[in-house]
Amino acid sequence: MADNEERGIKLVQEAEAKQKSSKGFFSSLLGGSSKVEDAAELYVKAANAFKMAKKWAAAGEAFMNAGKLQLQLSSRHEAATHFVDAGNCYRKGDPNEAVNCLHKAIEIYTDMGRFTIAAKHHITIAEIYETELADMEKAIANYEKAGDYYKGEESNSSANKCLLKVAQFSAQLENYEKAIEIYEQVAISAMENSLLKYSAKDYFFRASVCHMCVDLVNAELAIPKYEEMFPAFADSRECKLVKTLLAACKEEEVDQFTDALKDYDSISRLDQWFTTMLLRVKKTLNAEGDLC
Amino acid sequence: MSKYPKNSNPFEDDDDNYSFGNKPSTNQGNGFTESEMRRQKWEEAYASEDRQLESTRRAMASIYDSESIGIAAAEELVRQGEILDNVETKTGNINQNLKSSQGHLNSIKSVFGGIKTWWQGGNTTTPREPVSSPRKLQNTIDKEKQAAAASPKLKSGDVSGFYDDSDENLDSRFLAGSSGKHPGQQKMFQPVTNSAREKDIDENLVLMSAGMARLKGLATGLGDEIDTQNEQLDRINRKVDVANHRLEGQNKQMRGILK
Repeated sequence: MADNEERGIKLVQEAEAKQKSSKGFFSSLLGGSSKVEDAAELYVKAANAFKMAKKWAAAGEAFMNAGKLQLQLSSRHEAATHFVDAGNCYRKGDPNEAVNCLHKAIEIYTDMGRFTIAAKHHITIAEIYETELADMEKAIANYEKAGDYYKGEESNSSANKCLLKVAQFSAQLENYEKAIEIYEQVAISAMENSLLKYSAKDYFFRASVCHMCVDLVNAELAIPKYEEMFPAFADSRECKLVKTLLAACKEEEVDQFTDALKDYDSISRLDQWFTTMLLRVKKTLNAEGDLC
Repeated sequence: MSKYPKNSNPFEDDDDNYSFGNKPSTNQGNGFTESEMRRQKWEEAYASEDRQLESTRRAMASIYDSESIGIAAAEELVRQGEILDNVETKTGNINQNLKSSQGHLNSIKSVFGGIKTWWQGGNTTTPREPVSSPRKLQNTIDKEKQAAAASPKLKSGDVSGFYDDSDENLDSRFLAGSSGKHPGQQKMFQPVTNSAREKDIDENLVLMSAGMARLKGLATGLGDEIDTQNEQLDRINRKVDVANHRLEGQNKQMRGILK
């Protein structure tokens, strides 16, 4: 491994030397651009050597330099690819740098009008914020941008995937209005498609749970509306569960609430998002009980 | 004498049959009165009912699991389908661009070639082919809806109909039975012990049949979508081959010109 690192350092030095020499007056007349190309290539080789040696920061830096040189040569595609590679390398070490590199790449792609691939990189950035930096708001912002770009390119199911993540995180951050709006919108569009209509009931379920977190009256108004829009939702176990939970909330029966949940959970697991939301509803229940 | 329901439930454990039929005759005889024996049989019946309820719950759990996996697969497939559509359009564009670049190359190679291309006219204006092939899914779903509306007849307890090979009747029976629109004809199984648990078991069975109908719909849909996408992939493969061939040819020509 140290062998590769040495090779990498040597290549970087060579590349820097080439780059400096290309700035000289004479060589820029003769064949400056080919020197810059060579330098860029050397940087890429160096970066690959660093990758093999697992020196992610050095690899990322080398890729960044290569990208900048390519920009000088006005080959934007190449530059953007190098920035993305740099982002991948930095991701393992320094997430903030990774986000910066990916932003640079996205700028180039949006400039060229390649929105699909820009959207894909926005999703990568959002994932970094979600997992490594734990910054939910920035993650939401990036998922939203990705969804908008996908919508612009008419890839509706990819857009829906991003919007669902936005809704999930918004609800976790207690921005229930936004989450409800997104879930309803996605559910309605899912109803149209013959393959996706099986997932529509799940989205209505999530929207109902969000309604419950806001206000019980809202939830009671919303559920008949959903049943009317989508009859299959009315027959589903999810709808029955929501109705039981609402009834339990109205009578402030915490035990009834927990029992209904346990019953449902014994047959199909509730995932973490649901558990968080329903715990919040339960807390409001307890609070009301205390006030009385 | 045996009042418990016939167990045609495949999820049922096998050792039930043993305990009912082949009980060792040590308990029979002078020591036990009739009522004691009857009580024992009733207890066995209750135990069996409990087991049945448990197994229906387990079955429902696995049906719902499969459904959620199927739904996730369906969403992925739809997303892939869109991406494939995109790929097909863009490959078409690539081919168009390659044709026009071939024209440019011809004009570079020789003055004659340039005149020939100019004479052939601008062939870059061929319209883009419409890519959205009709998805068979919509037809399957519409057909099923019509069948369900047209045949609400449901023969009570007639199990022989299950082995019909007319799909539509089977689906309509499932759908009609599960939605509870014909309560009198719905019970495929005669009630035996009339206990609350038995009602639960019956309800669960209804839910299970609804779940399986949905699974069937999902599976058909997934199968259709995969078929369409397979055809699409074949088309894309051919187009990409053409593009590859043209690209290689043009590369060679350019290398020759640049020498």
